[in-house]
Amino acid sequence: MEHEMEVINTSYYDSETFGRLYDEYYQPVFGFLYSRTSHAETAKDLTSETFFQALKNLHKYKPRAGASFKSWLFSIAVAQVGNYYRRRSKYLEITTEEAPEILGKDEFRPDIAFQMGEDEQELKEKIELLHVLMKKLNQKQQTIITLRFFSHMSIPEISGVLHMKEGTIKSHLHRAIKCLQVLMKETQQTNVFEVQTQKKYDRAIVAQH
Amino acid sequence: MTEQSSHNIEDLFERMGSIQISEDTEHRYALRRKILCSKYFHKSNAQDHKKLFFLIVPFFASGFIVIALTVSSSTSLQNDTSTSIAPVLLSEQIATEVTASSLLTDAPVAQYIDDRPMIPMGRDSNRVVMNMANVLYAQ
Repeated sequence: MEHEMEVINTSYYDSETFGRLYDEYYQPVFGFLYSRTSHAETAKDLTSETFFQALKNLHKYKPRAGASFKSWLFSIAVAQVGNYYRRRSKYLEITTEEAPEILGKDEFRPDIAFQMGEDEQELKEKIELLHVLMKKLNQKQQTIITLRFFSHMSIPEISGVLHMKEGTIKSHLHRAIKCLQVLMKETQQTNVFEVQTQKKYDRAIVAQH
Repeated sequence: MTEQSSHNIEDLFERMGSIQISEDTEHRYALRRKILCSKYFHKSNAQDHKKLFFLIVPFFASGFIVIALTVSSSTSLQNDTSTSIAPVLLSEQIATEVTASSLLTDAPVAQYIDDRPMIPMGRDSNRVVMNMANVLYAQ
């Protein structure tokens, strides 16, 4: 911690020292932003903005108990995500059905399942579904889940990032998981119903023939 | 059942989180270069120079003022010792002349030690000379 503080103090005027901080935190910040936006190019832009904002406001950083440099940096990243979603709400959304050519592009990687092997089909489907359902949660809950499970942060660390009490974080997390359970159950039931209806339909067609 | 499904979701999240997100190395180094060459570092360097300037300039300026004051005071002291006697002598001389003769008449009495012309005097001028003499005598 003291060593990090020295690095931070020096990096205000020494570019090489700031480079060391950048090297350490680039991957976690990019990973968080990618998980939150599900879009590689957007995550790159937001990562750039996060580091520039950090550099610009480095003199304002004051180390406090439970507020490490990592928490401070992630709070900037969270603010960037908030700005991005606010801006995006003004744009016209196009679904992948409307623009199928986007799917072929390298930067469109809708979820982590993209990187998994083809043999884990069931798990892949579940993960895809969970990723879709996650979008139905509110922004705060999505951020908390991403910080907890994708950035592997502890509850006190998340509390430092979001400037919220640990109890509030826990209750948000609990509520989000419960909400996902319900949504997943509903979706699975709908899927089962759809499968049963499809089977009945197939049987009826077979009977006709 | 709910407990189990909650664990399932957490397990799924942990599984998702355990997969390393591949980064774009090109972007990483391009951004690094951009940040390290950014104006913010130049700005902070310029601010350092400015701070240094504002520290050094008042120091030298105050030093110069002190030196100037010391020199001027020492020279003025030397001037005082060489010239201060003369006015007293002059004033004594004027005073004696004033008291002895000229106050009774309207004739001019004040006279410089050097060869400057005498001051033309009327009644008012006499009064002035008298006042000066009084002051000088009192000293």
